[in-house]
Amino acid sequence: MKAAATDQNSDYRVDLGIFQGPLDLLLFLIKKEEVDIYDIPIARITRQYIEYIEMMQELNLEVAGEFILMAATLIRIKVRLLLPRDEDNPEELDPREELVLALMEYKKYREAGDILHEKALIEERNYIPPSPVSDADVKIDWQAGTSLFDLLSAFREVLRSQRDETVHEVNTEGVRVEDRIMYVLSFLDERESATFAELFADVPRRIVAVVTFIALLELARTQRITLLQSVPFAELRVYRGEFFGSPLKVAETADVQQPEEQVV
Amino acid sequence: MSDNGTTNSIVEALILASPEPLPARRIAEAVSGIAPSAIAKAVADLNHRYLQSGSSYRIRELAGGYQFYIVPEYAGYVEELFTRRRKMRLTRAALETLAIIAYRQPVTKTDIEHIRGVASDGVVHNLLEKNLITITGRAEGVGRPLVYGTTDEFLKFFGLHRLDDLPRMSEIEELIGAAEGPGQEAMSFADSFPLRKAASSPTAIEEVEDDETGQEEEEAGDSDAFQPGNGNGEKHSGVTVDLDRTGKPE
Repeated sequence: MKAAATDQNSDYRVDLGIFQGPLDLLLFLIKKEEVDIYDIPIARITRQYIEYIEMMQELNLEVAGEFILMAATLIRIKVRLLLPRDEDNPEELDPREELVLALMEYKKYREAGDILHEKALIEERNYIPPSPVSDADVKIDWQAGTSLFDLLSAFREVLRSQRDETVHEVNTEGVRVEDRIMYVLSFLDERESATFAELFADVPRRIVAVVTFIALLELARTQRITLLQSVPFAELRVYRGEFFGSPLKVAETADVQQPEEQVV
Repeated sequence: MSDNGTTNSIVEALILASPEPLPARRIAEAVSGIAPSAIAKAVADLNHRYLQSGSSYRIRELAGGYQFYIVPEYAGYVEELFTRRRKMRLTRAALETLAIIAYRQPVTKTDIEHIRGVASDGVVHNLLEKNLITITGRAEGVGRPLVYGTTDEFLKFFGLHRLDDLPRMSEIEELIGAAEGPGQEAMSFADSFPLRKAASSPTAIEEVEDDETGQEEEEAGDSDAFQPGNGNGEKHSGVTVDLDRTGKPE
């Protein structure tokens, strides 16, 4: 089955090789036993389910807590099935109903996942001729917005590349947001744009990177700079914004009474 | 406009040059005054021409843009000379999680875990790393959890122009229903559960019990089938192979 194939490089967890979770295992058992999903013989399926879990343990596979929880749920359902039913309450739910609904819901998405897998396989054979132009040479698409997530990913990259030297000395770090604002602005005074990496190139410590990032957010908020990507997931570039030259009186304290409030 | 041939060639050149699927609005940036419909027509003209001349390539719509590709008919030849580029492989966990996100977006991790029945931090994290999903905001309500959605990268990976290209959920339900036999949506759950219809007397339950205990022997036989080399059905062999693999002697 393709499940086995695609799972070979499972980077997540081993669920008895192929089972993604208790619902997956249950669906497998229901299919294998050829029982009606709407009329699951709970005792029989539970017994099998537990056998599988034991097998997983014998194979020294880590049995995720969810599998154990489901075993308990199955047993609870069985117990409730054994209890006499309330004759006066025709509305009383079949104890299995909740489980069946969960199984059906899960099954839909599992199926959708299979469809996606097929689409990926087809797409793999759609060869795309190389373009003479590289991503980096694409002129800015002014309408493709840059999301906060892009910004955070870019910043995470910066922090990742930033080795923080361990300094065993307590001192107050003299980094102020306004200093970093000035730094960014002076950087852009000399050139029209800068990549994220360039802006963070000289940053000595993590805290300075963080403050620089805050400065960028503030500058973007007041539209003194614009953050753009040429194509999605390309490197973020910082450009002069509409209000690049406007005076910086209040910006540094992130005061509520910003003159350009409508901008936000 | 006066010269369709020229417009077509310009559109062709732009799409050909673009390293990424080229949105129509970008074409309009380069060709002043061109209407979206004119771009679509140019692409249709071009594709028609490629078809007429028996070309191996076409323009298709992918992730909101236009892109050249070699029609699958020739993929076999391409692979004679060039190794098939292996796109990243997604695990089943990743695929089903992606499916949930694609159909339910914006969706929280809690929702995903609820449907899958397992913790999903690892998968979600991986999908984020692979740019197949992204955080699209926060949900209302307690804790304002992050919500996730799919990206353009997702569309490209699966060869989709837009999300609507995915089969509808109702179609998938039908697909499952057809395989399932009884118990489609047409039937209410009340009808589907025999216990509910049947007189809820203790005897009815005992019957169920008997039924199950009577299964004992058959089951025992069944569980033998899990042993490697004994599987006959497709399902069995699937598990057998897998158990075999994961259960290598230490």
